[in-house]
Amino acid sequence: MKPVVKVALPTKSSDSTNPRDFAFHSDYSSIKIYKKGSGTGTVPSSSNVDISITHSLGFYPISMIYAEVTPGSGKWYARPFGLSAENTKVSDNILYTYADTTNLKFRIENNTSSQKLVDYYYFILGHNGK
Amino acid sequence: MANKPKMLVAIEDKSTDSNDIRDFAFHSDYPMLKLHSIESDSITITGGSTSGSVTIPHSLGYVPAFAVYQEGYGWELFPNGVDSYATSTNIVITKTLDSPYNQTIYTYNDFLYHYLGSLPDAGVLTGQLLGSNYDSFVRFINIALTQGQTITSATFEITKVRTTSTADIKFRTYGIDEDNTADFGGDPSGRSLTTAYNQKTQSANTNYFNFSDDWTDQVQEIVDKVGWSSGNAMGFKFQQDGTDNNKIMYFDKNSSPQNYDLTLKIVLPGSQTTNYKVVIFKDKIA
Repeated sequence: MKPVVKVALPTKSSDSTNPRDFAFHSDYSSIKIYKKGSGTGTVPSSSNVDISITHSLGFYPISMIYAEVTPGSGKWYARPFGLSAENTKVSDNILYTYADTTNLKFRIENNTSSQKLVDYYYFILGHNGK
Repeated sequence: MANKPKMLVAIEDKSTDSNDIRDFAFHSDYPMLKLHSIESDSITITGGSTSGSVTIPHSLGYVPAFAVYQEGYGWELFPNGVDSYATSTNIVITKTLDSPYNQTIYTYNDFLYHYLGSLPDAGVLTGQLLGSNYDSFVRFINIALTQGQTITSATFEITKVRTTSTADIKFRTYGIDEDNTADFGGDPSGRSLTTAYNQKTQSANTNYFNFSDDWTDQVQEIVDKVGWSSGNAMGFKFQQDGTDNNKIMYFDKNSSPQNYDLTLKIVLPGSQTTNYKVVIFKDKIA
């Protein structure tokens, strides 16, 4: 018999067959964070900067990027692509924003007339994105 | 130094000796995203509006990682046209449409006005010159409103007009009280006018500006006519009403390219509601 490790949620039974009833269940892979971190992109006026995060996983990982596109605003955009209300964004051009088997790359575009220091945070997850 | 203890749970058919992170259901070297809550909410965009927002509190006290799903054809993660951000107290989602909801823009089909000639190069919208009153007419065609249909608003705009100096331009804006008003090839000045009109006073402004006017009542009156049907044409009149002599509101008739335009924006009732689910993690990003 295959051994199973289960941790049921409060008020739920470990005999449940519903995956949602478990904090952990060895039959179901959990979302593991391979690498996470933060940084600041210094972006000159009317310019852009390319950020590259090395992961060397050897596969295309699911990744998430958050950016405070207006420094000091306290607003961290989960998908800062093509924002109508912001003049700075993470490019949605797949030539510049993507993950490959060794790196997570993204481009921060500054469409304002002054330099911006854009804080970002990323997650590289231990799961296939492709 | 003692080895750091580890806890590994390999997925079925994989070895705990694997170096591939994907082979583990759990691996104590790698943290997991921890769920804080899953919230449901919606954004309603009413007729004439371009965007709507919803704010979802999370009470974490720091900026968390999160994900937004929009219901449509299934549940789409971070869909186009939706901006979302987290603060230390809320998740804010904003949906933006390409154009105002339930709004149709009609561009004029016919525009009858008095042309002064090359000095100045002026088409007169309304006013008084040498003791004579000057009116103008504009017509829109293929209006997609059924007989008696209720509208939310109708807004007229003409771009790049200006006035002579010092005195107000006083006039009324009427609809033409006809089911399907013809073009202005003949003289339209004898056509019946709607009961609804706007009494306007435009202050003098010798710089270019865009003039707009709320024609909701005029349009509704025309659409409510028994003989109106979808696809018909409707017309409107600018009627001089007390402007001082030699004072006009006008546009540059012969500018090249033409820099004036006349539009009628009609907004219908109704709203669009979009449902969202927000996954809020306990993982801190700021």
